[in-house]
Amino acid sequence: MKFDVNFDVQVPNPRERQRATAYAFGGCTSDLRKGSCAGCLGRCDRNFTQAMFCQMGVSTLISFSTKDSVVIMHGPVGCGSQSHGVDFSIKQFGAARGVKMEGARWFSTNLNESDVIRGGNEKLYDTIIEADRRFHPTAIFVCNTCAPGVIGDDIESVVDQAQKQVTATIVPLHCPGFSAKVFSSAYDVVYHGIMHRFKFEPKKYIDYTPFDETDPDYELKKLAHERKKSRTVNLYNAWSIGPGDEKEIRRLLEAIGLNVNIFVEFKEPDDWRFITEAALNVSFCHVHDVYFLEYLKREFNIPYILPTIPIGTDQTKKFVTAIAEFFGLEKEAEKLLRHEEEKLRKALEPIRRNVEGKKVLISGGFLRIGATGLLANEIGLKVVGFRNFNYDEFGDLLFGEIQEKIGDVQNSVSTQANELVNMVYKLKPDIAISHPSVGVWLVKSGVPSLTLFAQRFTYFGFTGAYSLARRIERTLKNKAYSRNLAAHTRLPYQEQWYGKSPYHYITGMPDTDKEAL
Amino acid sequence: MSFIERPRFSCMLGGALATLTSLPRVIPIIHGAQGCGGQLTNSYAYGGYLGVGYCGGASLPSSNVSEREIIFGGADRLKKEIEAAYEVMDGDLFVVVTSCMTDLIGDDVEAVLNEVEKPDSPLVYIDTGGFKGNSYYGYDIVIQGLFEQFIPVQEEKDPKLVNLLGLVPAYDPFFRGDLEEVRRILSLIGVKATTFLTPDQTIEDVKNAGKASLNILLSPVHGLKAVESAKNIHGIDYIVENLPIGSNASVKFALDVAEKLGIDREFAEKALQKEVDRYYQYVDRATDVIADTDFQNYAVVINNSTEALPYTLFLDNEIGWLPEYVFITDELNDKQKQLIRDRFEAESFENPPELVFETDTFKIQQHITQNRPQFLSDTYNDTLDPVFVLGSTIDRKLAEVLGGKYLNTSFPVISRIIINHTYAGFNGGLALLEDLITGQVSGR
Repeated sequence: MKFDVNFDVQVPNPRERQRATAYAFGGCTSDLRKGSCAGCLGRCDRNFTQAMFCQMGVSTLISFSTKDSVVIMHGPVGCGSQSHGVDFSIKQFGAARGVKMEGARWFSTNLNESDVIRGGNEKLYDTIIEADRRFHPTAIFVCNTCAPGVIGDDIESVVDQAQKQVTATIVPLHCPGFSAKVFSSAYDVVYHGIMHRFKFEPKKYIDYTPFDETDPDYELKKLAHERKKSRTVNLYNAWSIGPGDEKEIRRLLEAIGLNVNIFVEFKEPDDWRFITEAALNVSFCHVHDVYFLEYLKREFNIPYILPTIPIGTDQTKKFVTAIAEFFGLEKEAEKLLRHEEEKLRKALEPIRRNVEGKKVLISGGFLRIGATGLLANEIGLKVVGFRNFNYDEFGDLLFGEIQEKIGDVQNSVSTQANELVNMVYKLKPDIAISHPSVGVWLVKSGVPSLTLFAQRFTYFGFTGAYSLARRIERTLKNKAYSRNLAAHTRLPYQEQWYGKSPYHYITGMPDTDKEAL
Repeated sequence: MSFIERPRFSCMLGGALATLTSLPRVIPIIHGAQGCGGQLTNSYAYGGYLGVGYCGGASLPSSNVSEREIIFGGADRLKKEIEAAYEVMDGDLFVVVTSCMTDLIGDDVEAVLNEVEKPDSPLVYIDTGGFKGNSYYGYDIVIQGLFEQFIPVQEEKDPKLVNLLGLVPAYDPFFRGDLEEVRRILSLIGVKATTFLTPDQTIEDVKNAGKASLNILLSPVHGLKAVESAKNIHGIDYIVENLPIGSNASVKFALDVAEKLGIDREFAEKALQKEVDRYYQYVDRATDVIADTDFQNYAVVINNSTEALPYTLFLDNEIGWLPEYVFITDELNDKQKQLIRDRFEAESFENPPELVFETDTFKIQQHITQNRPQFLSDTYNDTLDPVFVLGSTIDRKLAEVLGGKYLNTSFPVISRIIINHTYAGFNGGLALLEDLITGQVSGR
């Protein structure tokens, strides 16, 4: 597998180079997996492109959800005008985790024409000093945007210079939008900044007092500490993972006797020093964390596993079992999972009767949509297509399972609304499950759409499966809104576009694939 | 210009996209990075959850330039993008807009447009490189572009047709409802208005804008380039008017327009009187609760240069509140600031407020807390109590600090959705009164 990381560079490679992540493809699941294995997905591109997120925007997510941080968008004011909605989210979802967040605090360096000619370093320096003085934050994340990226401002040197003057730790993030087509590269960028600026081991006399060797209970205390650490597992959350998800997985792992820590969001950087006080790192979503977990493995020798994302019965069982196996708790896990599965199965029966056979299209990040597809399949829906934001070999195992259980359905790699509405036109789903900002195009096409993640609901584990099943059932009960909307609004696409393949503008693909839909 | 904490406006491209996606059946084509379109759509969504529109968000054609185009130039990519957009997208007007980074690379967009085969629907180019101005300027330059490149010059004008300009989609969050209400007021005196941005408008209406005999600019600074262009190219004169809020302001506004268009004053007054009577019959029956509960408040108005004065005038002249501070939050040059100051001084206030130009949220709060005695420990103080903050969602904090109420009226608007709600005109004045009182009784 191509996963080529070098932590010593200043700027991490975007994922299209680092792990051959594809951002354009159209075909069936089997084509997708074949292409990914042969490495030819990475050669696909487009002749017609539409707007999407960039890695700068995505970089702000971990940055804002670091407790009591300040974010600086170093660039023109537009890049700093997109975060007003974050304030509510982090306060609300922090509170649900028992963490009091200060709310979203950020600055735009507001570069104008003359700053771009003279260079924006001085302005960035002043902004950092003011951010620290005004808010006394734990960390200051500096997002480098396209304009300073193109003119080549050296933000590292500004950061190093300012660091001498401020108490917060300043984290430079090299995330100009143009430098990565795969916007989830942002997670590597942020973790890269974090790993180079923070420490991940507890500090003597600050975080702990060493045991006294002359203490008669010294050996006992040492053993107890080691025992605890050997039973501790770290999980890694993400913006798309809600408090309910964390609660559910914590419940399951604690039930088999493990200590569970959850990093890095909704924690302050001082808490991150306890990351190494665990026996195992586990990612809910490798798209989000594998870069950081690989670093922790190389640097601190902490093993990690990427079991799967715990959505739906099978994936949840796999997730818990993989962790249990590591700790030698298979028996406990088996007993718990059998019990939980049985309870869920009974609860899902009446829902299944109402949703059985309904066609669903799922769109978003590949790991989450894959597992969601399996859950949909589990409750009797007919999955007619997947639309991955991007795709790489990390998904092959899951999509192998999908091909086996669901069949060889349409499976594209796309962020484009034109391709989506074309797919909808052909596949005619009854319902869709989609990542935020895509839903509007589905609803306008007459298909009710559920958000692929909604932090106010639970999505993970057994209770999450029930919650999503209920949401699907509820949505299907009354489709009047999308029906009326589709009848009275027009999409901005010509009639003839629907006569073409949705993959018409994708280049570098074998022609046979293009005609698949 | 300094750094800004939590900016209340976007870049030029952000304003241009908010405007273009509100125009009828317009297809914007962005020459920029992939995030510009998607994320500036997030930005305008904070104007009361204004949705993507006909062709915004993930449907925006965008050249998505990457490292390769930065090194080798993005002209080829743009040409392909435009050609494909004409194959796929269904629109009446295609508009190429640029971003800061493509301006930096220096792509010759004009040359690309000349190379593109003459398409059925017109294609115009508007240079909206990020750092030349902010979202208000983006609006101005788009409308200017329409007058210069798209709207045909008409020798013969319609003496009863005007254009309404100056309200920027999302960044003037009530723009649709406000434009509709202002148009309704004009219809009372027999004047038709083109609004460009309301849902009823068609591309024919936009084209017809050249027939108007007057441009009415509802902002003292935003849209000036557009109306100047229209004056030079189309010979359309313009007047700058406050966005009318409430009965007094609406009557004054309509009579100003009537005078400018040569409409008989007596006729206009008579037509408006009916509206005034209706308005006060409504106010009449709100008076019981107002009189019995002492609902007069001090007020802090936080808004852009277009709307700050109209809101303040309504509070002071119309419902007898005491606006103490007016903060203007958009970035202005010294000349523009003087213009606003002059307009404030030209009005007569019962309780003249302090006018402060401040883009920075933290400093707005600081300005009050450092200058008001209520934050001293004395018992007998000239306190700002009861107080009402009319501002953006991020000013809720200020209302909490002051122990007052708050109404979300300026960008960002996140604590409410705005569909066709209006605070302009007669209906808007009533709605505003309604919301200000509701703010004080909603806990009952």
